[in-house]
Amino acid sequence: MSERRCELPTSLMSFVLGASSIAFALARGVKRVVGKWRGPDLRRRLLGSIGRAVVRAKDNTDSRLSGEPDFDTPAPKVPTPRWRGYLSGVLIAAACTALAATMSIWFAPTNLAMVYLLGVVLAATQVGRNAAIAASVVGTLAFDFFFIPPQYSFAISDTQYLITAIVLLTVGLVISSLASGLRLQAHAAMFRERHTAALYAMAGELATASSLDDIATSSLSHLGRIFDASGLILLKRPDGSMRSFGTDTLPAAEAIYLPLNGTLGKVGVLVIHGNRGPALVCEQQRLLEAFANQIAVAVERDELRRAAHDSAYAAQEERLRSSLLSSISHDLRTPLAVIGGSASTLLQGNSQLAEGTPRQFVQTIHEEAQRMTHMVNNILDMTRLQSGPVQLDLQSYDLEEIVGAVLERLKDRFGQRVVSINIPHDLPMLHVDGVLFEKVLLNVLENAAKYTPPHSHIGIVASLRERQIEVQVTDDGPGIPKASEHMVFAKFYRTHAQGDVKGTGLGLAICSAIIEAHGGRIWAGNRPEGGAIFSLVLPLKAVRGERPERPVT
Amino acid sequence: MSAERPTVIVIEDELQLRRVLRTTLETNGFHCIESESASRGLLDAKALRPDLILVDLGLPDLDGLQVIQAVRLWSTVPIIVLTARSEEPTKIAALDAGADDYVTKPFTVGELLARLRAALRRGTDCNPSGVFEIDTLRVDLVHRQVLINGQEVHLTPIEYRLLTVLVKNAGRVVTYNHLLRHVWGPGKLDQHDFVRTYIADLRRKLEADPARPAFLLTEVGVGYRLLASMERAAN
Repeated sequence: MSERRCELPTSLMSFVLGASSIAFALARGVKRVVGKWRGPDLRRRLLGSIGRAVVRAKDNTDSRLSGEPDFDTPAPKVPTPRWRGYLSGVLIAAACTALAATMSIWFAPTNLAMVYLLGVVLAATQVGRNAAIAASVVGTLAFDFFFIPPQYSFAISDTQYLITAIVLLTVGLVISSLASGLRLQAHAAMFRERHTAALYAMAGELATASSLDDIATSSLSHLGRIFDASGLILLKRPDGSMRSFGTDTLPAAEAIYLPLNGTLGKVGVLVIHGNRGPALVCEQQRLLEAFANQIAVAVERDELRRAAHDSAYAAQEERLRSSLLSSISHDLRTPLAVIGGSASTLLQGNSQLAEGTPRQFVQTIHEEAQRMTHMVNNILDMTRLQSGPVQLDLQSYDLEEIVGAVLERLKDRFGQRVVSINIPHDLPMLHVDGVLFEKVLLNVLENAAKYTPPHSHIGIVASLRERQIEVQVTDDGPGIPKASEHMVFAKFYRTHAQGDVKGTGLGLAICSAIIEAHGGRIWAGNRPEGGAIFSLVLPLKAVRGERPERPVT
Repeated sequence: MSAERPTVIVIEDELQLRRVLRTTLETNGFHCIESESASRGLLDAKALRPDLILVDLGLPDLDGLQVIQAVRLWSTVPIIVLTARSEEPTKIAALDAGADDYVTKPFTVGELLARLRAALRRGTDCNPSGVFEIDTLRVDLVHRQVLINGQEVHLTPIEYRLLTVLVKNAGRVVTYNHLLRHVWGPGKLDQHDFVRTYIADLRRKLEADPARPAFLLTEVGVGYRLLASMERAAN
């Protein structure tokens, strides 16, 4: 915590400065003001109000964080109305006259002028310029009237008193103008200090802002507090259109528009409208520009950060894409090479081919063509699912019906495998895209057929749980290798347990994409008794989970 | 089916596929005429009065759908559509435009021939006795009787109407909209849930294992197919 030493001056003229420094220190939130009082006690008593201010400052600042600007302290006082200034000047002069009258018993009239000077200083520092002027003029007149012989007359008999009166008036007026100048300067310095602090606070907040919304919110709240104004930030979008933050009810005609100048050009416009009118003093205008620059830098930094993030993302996508491409091209080239090789051998019509070889070649061509078909279909499905938001044709389906259709299509693949189905008759209808959901079951069941030996048992079980329909496909095959339960849904992932199983590694990724598009979940695991289990849950349709009502016939 | 070899017009712009189809059809007892464009195919269809038209949906000059609509203006000849995979809306549009069936590319020979035979049977087989039989099911349209393994099954009027529409189109895919129009009338179109609910009920009454139907099959997203005979197309 910083400790500032403010040398409190002892000379009478510098007292004004001292008072300003304390006010300054107060606004700045200085923890401790250390003053040196060398003068006699009387002076201290005279300046009592300032002494109390120092004590107050100590009390307040100790409980406050260092350097934290306090915007709750009232803004510098609005100058007292002119007539009140004059009135207090007159009153001070009257008080001085009363004091001088009691002192006139012991002192010569020339020395009594000093009492009036003191009054003028008091008026200048405590009230203002007008009070000081009034105090000097009225004081001089009263001095002349009451103390300069002939008393109770404005006439001056002795020329030496004429000099005293003129000096009194002149010094009074000079003090008034000097004091008021100092007050103004102190005011301005205080303003600058407050503004620097505000700027610093906002810069600090903007440095940690993580999004455009944060930047807008914090800068607008700072602007609002400091300028007592509502603001609006308009930012340029990459496509040239504008995006606005903040209030949209600014009366446009009275607002101030400031360009937000970043290092690479204008990033937007700051619109600000003072709640007490559009006018801003010159000092505020400069501050506002500083704010605008800060905001512009923050916005620009956000844009750059985003651009960096985007390019990193794009690079990652690119890496993924190229690995997919190499995987796909390998998977497609292999069957093509087999087909091409077999066909060209057959075309040559080599008579040396062993008996039955041509038939084998044709068989191979047929199988590889089927494999390619399967692969291309999967790749097309995946591409379609990833090319944008999936358009679901949601309708009510009987799970039993879709299972039946899938089993019909997989009849040949299943061969000797035994399939047991357990679907409760009162299971609500599924609310799904029938074609896509069929694809999910097809892929999961095909997977089961692919990774199990010929006489395995495959089970399909459905149940209703907590407004969700759960479907499980189980088998008693070798199961999924440990720790790769999550991996099986990744694109192009294939378990290596079954080396000769052919596939694209896309089937389950497609399932996962489809189920997620339905707002459901699919996962895989191993059964304790051995074999794999694939589970998927689908939310029940919110409104119409029951069977549709029978139309009247 | 007539003793002569049935004539099939193949409207397909891909030469390779046309060649394969021609060989396949010729070796399986069909007479094949190749048309490489829709306009050419329409001319051939008018001039040669084929027994069946096989049309690709993606043709360079006219959309396959337009070919179907043009043919349907003057002929009820069976039309089978060749289509790329996963285009359920296209399949439905073709069926609703008047196509009898579709075969999805890439297809196997067995699948294609099964579809062709089913479509031809529908074209010629008027079934004068009004009795339809498949597997354990026997439907007597004249006496309004449905038997499973010789046992009479009670169907509600709606279920019976559904079954008759399927029987009349046995071997073909019948779209949801077709069923809705012919069972419930034109007011209920697009309420596919009705159809699925009633088919599920019908299956429970007719099929031994409704989860693994033997003859009342589902074409998910398109409609239903009541097999015309138990000889199945290999997938």
